[in-house]
Amino acid sequence: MSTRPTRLPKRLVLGAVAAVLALGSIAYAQDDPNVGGTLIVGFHASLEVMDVMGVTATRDEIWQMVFEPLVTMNAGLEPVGVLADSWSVSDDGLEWTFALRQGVTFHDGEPMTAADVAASYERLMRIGARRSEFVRITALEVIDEHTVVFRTDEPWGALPETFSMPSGAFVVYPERVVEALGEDLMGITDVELMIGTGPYQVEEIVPGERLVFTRFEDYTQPHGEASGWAGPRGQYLDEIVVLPITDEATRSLALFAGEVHIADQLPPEDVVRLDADPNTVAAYREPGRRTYLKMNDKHGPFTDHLLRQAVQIAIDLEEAMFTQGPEESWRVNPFVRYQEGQWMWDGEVMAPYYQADLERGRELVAESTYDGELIRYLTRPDLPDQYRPTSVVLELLQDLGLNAELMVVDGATFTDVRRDLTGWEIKSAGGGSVVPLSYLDASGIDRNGEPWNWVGDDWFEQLEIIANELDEDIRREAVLELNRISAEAAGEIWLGDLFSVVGVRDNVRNIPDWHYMRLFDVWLD
Amino acid sequence: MTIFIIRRLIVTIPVVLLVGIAAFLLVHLTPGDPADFFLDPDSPVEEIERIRARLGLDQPLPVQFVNWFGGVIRGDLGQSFHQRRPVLEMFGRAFPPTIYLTVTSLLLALIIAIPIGIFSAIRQDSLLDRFASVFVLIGVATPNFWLGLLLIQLFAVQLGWLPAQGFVRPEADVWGSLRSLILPSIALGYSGAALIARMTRSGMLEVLRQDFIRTARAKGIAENRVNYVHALRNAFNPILTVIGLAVASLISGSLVVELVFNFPGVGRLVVDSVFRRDYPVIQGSLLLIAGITIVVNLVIDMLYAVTDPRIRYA
Amino acid sequence: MPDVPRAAAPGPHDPREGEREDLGRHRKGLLQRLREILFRNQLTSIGTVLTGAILLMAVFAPFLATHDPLRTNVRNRLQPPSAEHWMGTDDAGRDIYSRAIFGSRVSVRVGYSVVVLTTVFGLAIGVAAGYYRWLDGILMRTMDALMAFPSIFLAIAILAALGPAESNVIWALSVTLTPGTARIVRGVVLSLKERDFIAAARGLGARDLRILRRHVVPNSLAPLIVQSTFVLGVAILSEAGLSFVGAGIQPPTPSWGNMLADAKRYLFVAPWMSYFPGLFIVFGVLGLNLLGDGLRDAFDPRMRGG
Repeated sequence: MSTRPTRLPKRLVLGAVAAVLALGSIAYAQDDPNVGGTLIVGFHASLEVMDVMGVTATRDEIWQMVFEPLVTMNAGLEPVGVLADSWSVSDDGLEWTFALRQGVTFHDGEPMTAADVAASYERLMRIGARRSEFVRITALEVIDEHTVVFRTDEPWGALPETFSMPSGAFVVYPERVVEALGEDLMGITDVELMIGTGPYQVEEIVPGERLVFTRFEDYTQPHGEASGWAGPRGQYLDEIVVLPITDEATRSLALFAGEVHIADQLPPEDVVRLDADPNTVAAYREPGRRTYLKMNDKHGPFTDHLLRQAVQIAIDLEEAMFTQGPEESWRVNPFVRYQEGQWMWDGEVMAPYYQADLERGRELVAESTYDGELIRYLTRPDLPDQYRPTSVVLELLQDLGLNAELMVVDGATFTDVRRDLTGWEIKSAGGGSVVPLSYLDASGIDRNGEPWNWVGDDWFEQLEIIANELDEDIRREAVLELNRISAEAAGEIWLGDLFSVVGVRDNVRNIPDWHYMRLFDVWLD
Repeated sequence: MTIFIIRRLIVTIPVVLLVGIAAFLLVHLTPGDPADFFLDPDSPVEEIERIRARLGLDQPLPVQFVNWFGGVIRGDLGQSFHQRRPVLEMFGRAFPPTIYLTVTSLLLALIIAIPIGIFSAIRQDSLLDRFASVFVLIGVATPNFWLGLLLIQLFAVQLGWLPAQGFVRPEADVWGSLRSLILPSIALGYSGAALIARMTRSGMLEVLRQDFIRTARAKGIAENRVNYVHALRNAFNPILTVIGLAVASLISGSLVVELVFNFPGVGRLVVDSVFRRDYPVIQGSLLLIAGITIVVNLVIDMLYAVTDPRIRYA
Repeated sequence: MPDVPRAAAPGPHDPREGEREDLGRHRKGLLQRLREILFRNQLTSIGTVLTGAILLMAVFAPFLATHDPLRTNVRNRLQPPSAEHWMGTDDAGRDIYSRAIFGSRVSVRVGYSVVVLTTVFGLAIGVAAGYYRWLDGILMRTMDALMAFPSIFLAIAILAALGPAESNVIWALSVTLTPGTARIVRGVVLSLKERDFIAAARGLGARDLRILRRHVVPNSLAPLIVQSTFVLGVAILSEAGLSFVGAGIQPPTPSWGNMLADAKRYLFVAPWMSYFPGLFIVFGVLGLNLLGDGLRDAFDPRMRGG
């Protein structure tokens, strides 16, 4: 499966404070939970390898059941302790002291101590896929069995936030597992070594067929409020069976046929039928995912600013989003990376740039240097969010008089081609919307790590403000300015937000209203 | 006979080598980097290079081929990039579901086809003959994945009689296993019926006109016995040929049907592996599938000799 | 995806071998002879009509279509069949009827291109293998190797390597389908070689090329025409299968295969999306098979009824 298609990379670690989302915490049902039973989940991805450090091709829903990090993020993207009870930073900002939760045991019965944290950190820095983001940490010191200190070479406020990143996460393995894994960075395949501290333990993995998790009886609950990945974790079910059903139509059929209790990432159209069927319930997840277009301003016709503006002024965002499904399943949102309701969001900023004015667009094309060059529109059908709008966008490009054609390739080829900036002119893109401010820089950088041509000093100035300022109003203004810069440059066109559809059988209770499924919270009536 | 088998086996060697080279080249010439599947696509180049080195992809292509094919000759098909299990083990897990599906589909095809074929031959050009031809030809003409989806919609979702997806291994639950095989077998088997029916019909027609049948009839042997015993036995060879062909075609068809029914078989293994560029699995599976097809054809050829004493192999 | 019925090839034990009629002998009254063949019985007539209908549909698509097959109207998506949209609309609000009509063009283009390519390659390889003993081994082993791959695996692998474009679909299918044709031609050549008149022609000093033109091609014609109808059918089905796996004809060009693949997502809310392209495929391939059976019987006198 492809790597985390719904999450954009975090390229530079900026000293960003987590974005606070106007999201409610998880609403627990009032009725008494029913304990026991087996939950069967039809899951969109096929997973065999359980490791979150070395590879980023993992799924939060799955590994969060088994492994736990020191720090995780709540629904507001704030760092919250899981295996860390608390932390404090020294006055000079160079020493971070983490107090570990006591009484935590691994699935094999051994207690979790500072030595395991140290061993895991050592492995992360050796083979971690995202270890480059931890470079400001110079040392880890074990103070006692339940205290560790991280030292940095300069003050780094983003340390807890970085620890909470779910991709390539800093989770804690037992020291003996780290030793057994050695230099192996490709992930744990041996069930014997899949030892974590999470609420469920791995019972069996049959590649391509099923993953079986059983309740970990000696689990000790984290403190606080259940929100995002944070807080106490329910353990109502005896067993959770995850069936990889990669085809969404088949996943949907399995739910209707009653073969699974939960099916994730269903076609939005199925909501109608899920609601009509007395045995099933549809649950929309907000916020969902983002979908956008990227124009290549380093090579080909879109190096001409006028041509990019032509597409921007002419595109009908609503029409493009209509391809995604029923109106309830999406909303138009040209704001870069963030969503309605988030504190830094302001829809008005982008309004002037998107007029759905085809005539004006044609005029701009006429003014531009465009002379019938081929425009390759790169896209991938394996990610429907990105793929569905192509029919409308392609038509728009052609209506503008551009010689555009689709270039539909599979995920692996897509990843290859998009690195080659001579290989495409415009491409579909998508991303997770629950991202901290540090993700903003991803818009300014191409896939080879170089800034796009339209990115100037003003862009970096605003990024600096976002990274270093503490005043929220100033940071917000910087975000709005970044949006203006982005819209002026017309390098990216953000189309809108998509809400995931999760279908459940009517006896499934306590599916929280969050983007990710907290499977460990579910119970069955 | 032994000499024949040995000769056929020797001839197989260059075929296997060709298949191996073709599979290797196809896989390595395909765009897309296996390392990308372990990392965010935007990971630093050094990280990607590290994974590539770990997968042995940093070596020159000829070296990679020699390493791989050398292993193949020693019976080692290598290790999956993703599951990091031996390819042979993964194929071994994926093969039984495919074989169950192929065999039940073939049985279903035979159950549909042979009576229709015999009947059509006996009642040649009757209305029923024509109806039967159209019936089996519709099977050929229907895309099996579409038929599969329609079957799921009707029997699994609306009527709730049979499972919509997945495969239950018979060692876990025999009855459940059979149930999980019914719909995919229909989707796949129906398309194989036409060929078998046609060959049964023409084989029967051929034989019915031959002298010894006339003799049998003249001797007063009951018509039914003539038809079923004498004629069918002699029509067996062409049917055998077709079964050989049908097996290849069913294995091919099972790929798409497996995707529809979320069947953990060879088809899904290969398609998944193609999509995530798991080179050793793609190469190994293609080689094994080719090998199996060759062996099946060899066995069919040998069966000729058994069923038809007129055929001798030099 | 069914493979080509390779049984059409005269195997070493095929009793029909050498009894095929020579089409070339029926020069006079060709039209009448053609009618006799194409409408020789009810089933064959149905096959001829269906096959002809699809050809005509492809040729006259612009006149038959009621809408632009590519024009989207997303606010009007997933509409059931109506007076305006006879077969409803798809997920981008496009007219399914018009797309299905234009989809026949892809099937015809892909199908006939594959037939031409497999026939050319099949003839070349089959003749070379049948004629020259020293080439026979290499060529037929290569063909065996190709046939050893289940065809759709090979096609997927080829398309993954070349990239999904219509021309690549044609090449991929041609590669997988050529061995069947090559075997047929080789069989014809081998049986001809045994016959006296070839030996006589050789004795008279006839060039190989002349023998090829005068004897091999005419004698191969009948089985090749029969084979072509099956190759066409397989090509249409294979395109659908490849599209289903995501390696077929690329959008926005409508093909029956990619329409059917798109419909999968909307099985519940818009079942009509799958019914119409599905039925077009069924009728198209059924027609070709009925025609092919008819032609086979017509060319092979022993199969004639009565």
